[in-house]
Amino acid sequence: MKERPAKPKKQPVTIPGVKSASAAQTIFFPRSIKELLTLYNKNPGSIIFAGGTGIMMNRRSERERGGAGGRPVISLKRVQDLTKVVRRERFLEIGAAVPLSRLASIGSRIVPKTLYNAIINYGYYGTRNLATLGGLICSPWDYSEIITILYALDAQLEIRSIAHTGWILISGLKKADGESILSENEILTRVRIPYGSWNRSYSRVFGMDGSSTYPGAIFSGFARIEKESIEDIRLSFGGIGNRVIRERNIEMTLQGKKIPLTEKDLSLIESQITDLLDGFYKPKDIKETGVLATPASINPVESYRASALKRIMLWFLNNLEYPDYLGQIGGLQNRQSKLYF
Amino acid sequence: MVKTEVALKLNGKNIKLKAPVWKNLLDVLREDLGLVGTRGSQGAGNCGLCLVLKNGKTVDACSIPFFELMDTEIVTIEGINLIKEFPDRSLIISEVLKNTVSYRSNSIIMAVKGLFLEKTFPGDDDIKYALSGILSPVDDSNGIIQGVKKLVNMRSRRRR
Repeated sequence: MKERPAKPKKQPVTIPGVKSASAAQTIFFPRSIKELLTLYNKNPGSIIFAGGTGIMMNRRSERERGGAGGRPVISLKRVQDLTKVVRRERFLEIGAAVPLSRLASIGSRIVPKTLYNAIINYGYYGTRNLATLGGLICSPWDYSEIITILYALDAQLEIRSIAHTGWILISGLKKADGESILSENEILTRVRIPYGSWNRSYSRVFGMDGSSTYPGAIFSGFARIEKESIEDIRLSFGGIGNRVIRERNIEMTLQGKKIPLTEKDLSLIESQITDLLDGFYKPKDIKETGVLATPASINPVESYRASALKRIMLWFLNNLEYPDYLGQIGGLQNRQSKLYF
Repeated sequence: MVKTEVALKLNGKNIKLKAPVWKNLLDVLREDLGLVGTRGSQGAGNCGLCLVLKNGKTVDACSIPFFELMDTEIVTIEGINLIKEFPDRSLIISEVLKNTVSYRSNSIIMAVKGLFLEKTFPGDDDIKYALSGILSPVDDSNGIIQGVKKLVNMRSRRRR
């Protein structure tokens, strides 16, 4: 009987400086961005592993994690270029694999203070030592206060592939349905946070017993007040429909207004924000016709979040003339949620 | 399930372990090695129960997959006294843990140990930073913070 010829073995992709940990599931440990991009180009759709706080949490069973013969994994732990933090004159540039604890150790003189407060209140000691800024940004869940603040500050992201490099705004990273725009061989390498001359800032997390990893709703507001007039203002809302929302029309309406804001201004803003937030949690039929066709589709949690966000935004706008008060309340809230799990 | 082999240093000993690549460190410690001092609940990085030291940093054991252990040094609660660093476990227990009745005592020890490895003389903010999210409402949080401060003072006196 004629023997069947042996099937040629598939060779794992290897380039110098890269280790493969398992024959069944290839794991790569690149040492530079160039190696990382080459590997990602050759293995599109690989799992990029940074801190692990997101991946390990959401892929508990072996099968969900890829199991035997699953997607290749590219670990970022040896890519030193992704762990750099550089302070420039007009912005702070942070490598995508910088852990949050590193940003916390840099301090609030370099990291914008509101962002610093959000970082030191994120999760707990062990989580902050593992979780990376890039991982948080690329996570499909935008529940973090840090992300809401980055939206308000117009953070920019460097997206690289083997063929091109480009910068995008953080608000452009995800489509309306929350899916990332990154293609299978593109990776986030750096985050640029502009230093704005904000003299009012406030951030608040609601719900879920003060949990910072899964808050109910998040509001972040930044404003620059000159001669009792709003020169610039940024307002962002997190936790509604798993998205961060920033509406430029509302910010444009507020720019140039004198503080304290009049009742007329505030009611106009309130109606604008109601329209905006309702669009994210109320079903289409009730919005357009006023008739509820599918009672089960109303989400009371989202409704609670939206009303809480509306109230805190109005509170922020009402207190723009008291910068010390805003700072103290923000600090108090952070201290209270700091000690308990 | 195909297993992979990883060499690491665990509680001061160089060992080689075999496990599935995605098995988390918490399960490896508890199920494969019988080191049950590291506690866990949901394995989701939320509770702060499973703290260990990885290369001198306090991290969640449930968030570390097996393949990330390659060439690392892990210290668990069982090996905490092997670190030649003041203060040792008994001092932490006598000064800090007298203020807690919670299930989290091992995590508190690991967090305090990690803090002392990171900073020689941690200040008030550093102590709060290290303990944030770990303490439960039944703990005397002020007492625990005072206990850690006492250890800092003892440490500074010893240095003089």
